Amino acid sequence: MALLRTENVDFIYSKGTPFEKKALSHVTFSLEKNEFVGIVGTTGSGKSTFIKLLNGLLAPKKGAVYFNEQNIWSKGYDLRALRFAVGISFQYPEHQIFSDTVKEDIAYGLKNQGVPENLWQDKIMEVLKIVGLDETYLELSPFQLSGGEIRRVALASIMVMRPQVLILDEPTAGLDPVGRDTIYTALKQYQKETESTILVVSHNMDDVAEYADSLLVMSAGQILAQGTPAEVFSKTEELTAAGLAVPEITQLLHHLKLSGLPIQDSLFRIEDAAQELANFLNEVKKDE
Amino acid sequence: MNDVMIGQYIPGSSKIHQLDPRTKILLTFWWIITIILTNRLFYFGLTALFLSFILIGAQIPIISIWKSVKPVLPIILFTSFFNLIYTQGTVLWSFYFLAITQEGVQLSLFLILRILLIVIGCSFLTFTTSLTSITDGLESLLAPLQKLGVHVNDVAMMVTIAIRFIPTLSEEIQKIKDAQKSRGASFSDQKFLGKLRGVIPILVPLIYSAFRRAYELTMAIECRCYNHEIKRTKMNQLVFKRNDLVAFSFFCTLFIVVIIGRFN
Ligand SMILES: Nc1ncnc2c1ncn2[C@@H]1O[C@H](COP(=O)(O)OP(=O)(O)O)[C@@H](O)[C@H]1O
Ligand SMILES: [Mg+2]
Repeated sequence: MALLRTENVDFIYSKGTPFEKKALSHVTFSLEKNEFVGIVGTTGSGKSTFIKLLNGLLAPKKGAVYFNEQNIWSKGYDLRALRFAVGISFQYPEHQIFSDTVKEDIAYGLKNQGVPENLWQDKIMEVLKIVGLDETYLELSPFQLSGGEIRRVALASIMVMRPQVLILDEPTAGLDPVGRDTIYTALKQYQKETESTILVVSHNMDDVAEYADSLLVMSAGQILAQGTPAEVFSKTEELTAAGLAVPEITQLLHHLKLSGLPIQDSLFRIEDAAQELANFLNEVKKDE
Repeated sequence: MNDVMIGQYIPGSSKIHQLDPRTKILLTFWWIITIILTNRLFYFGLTALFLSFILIGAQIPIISIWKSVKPVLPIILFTSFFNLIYTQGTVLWSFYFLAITQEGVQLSLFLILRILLIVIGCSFLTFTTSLTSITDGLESLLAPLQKLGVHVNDVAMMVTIAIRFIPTLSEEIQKIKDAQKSRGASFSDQKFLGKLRGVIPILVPLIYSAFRRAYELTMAIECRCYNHEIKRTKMNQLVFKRNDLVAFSFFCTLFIVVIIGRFN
């Protein structure tokens, strides 16, 4: 049974005006419990629109969205409860900070959830540790933090609500490689500890290739490819046509294969690729 | 963007789109005066007909017109309702202390027509003229004030920036709302205090981001050495063309007809 799924959804912005814009068409997708899924696609391919359908911020013009096999747009469905179960951390974290201190900002979701105040401290400390910040941050003003720190606070403020599905929109945009690794390591750890389901949106293949169990590739509001990273990255030509690049290491292997080396080119982790090349070189050495 | 239609430019290539912005600004004022002077049902019909020709000429979808009228409907209905029941005169129908008079019916009907015609007429200016053209036009029309020491250029620049950021900020509000709703905020609290408390999580990020944008914009403007002492030239010089003359003569004719109708 899928935890969260969409069935043939369409979405159109400003419908019925001269600015009408079809952002999604026929998107069918399902998310299983405890999966780590990456959504990739060029800017404007509809990724952000799609995730807003998943927690009921936007209603599909056609098709349906199901959480635990219940249509979220059926009459009397509690959308607010859905938003606690399907948490989204958005692309621009500065859009959500308004409190005097980091602590208050993280506690905002807990307050809305109705969690008793005496439990806040423990919950906040727990997520703060996951995102790699220490307790000295609690009393700082969120407005004086750096971009990377704000992002981590924003992430913590969603994680603290313990959503069953955690969705992140471009969590590493504007971060340096170290910041990027911190975020992804935090996510992996969070997933392991809480057995939650994670969906990460990115326009960078290298980012998700390393961590995701499966990928959804979007192009111009439609699904271009879906499957494990290996399956997806074997479609180099389609991806390139849609303006996306397979991970650099995969490109390297692909080119080596094209120039005649008998190696496998559907690898996308550096370690795997290094292993493959080492195996090949060892073979060559043995033959000599 | 969403559903804000007032002030929304709809790109096109009609004759009306191509008119000089100064023509359109002046004619908009003239239109308002004409409508205010109109006082017979027949002539209201005439001006409405005139407006519908503009509508066809500008190729603006009816739905956009409807969206620009919708927000003012409550005000129109409210004021005309009071006109209807408070005007003295020949009683047509009465109910306790309420009396509807012939004069009241006429007055409120005219009021509705006037406001509608003015609102729709004015929205054509913004439907068919891009913001830059409007400010170029305003700047050129207000240029004589420069001699009186008013920095017309700067004012025009400020107005452009202010209007330019309305859709940006309204998009931003939507994004902020989405972010807070995702953390369980609900904006459906009907009580005043609840409403007030609900506004803070939106207002604070909005103001913060408006300031940030302002700083960024200042920096960008300074990098381009913007300075009010430097005389800038325009990429698109404004020139009146034959069509502008045609437009003026149409409005002139309408105006004369209405004036004759009024004093006859
Ligand atoms: N609020 C909006 N109003 C109108 N069009 C929008 C809005 N938000 C996004 N779009 C359009 O919908 C398309 C998909 O956007 P989005 O989902 O943000 O893409 P992505 O997140 O993949 O970059 C884009 O063409 C974008 O211009
Ligand atoms: Mg996006």
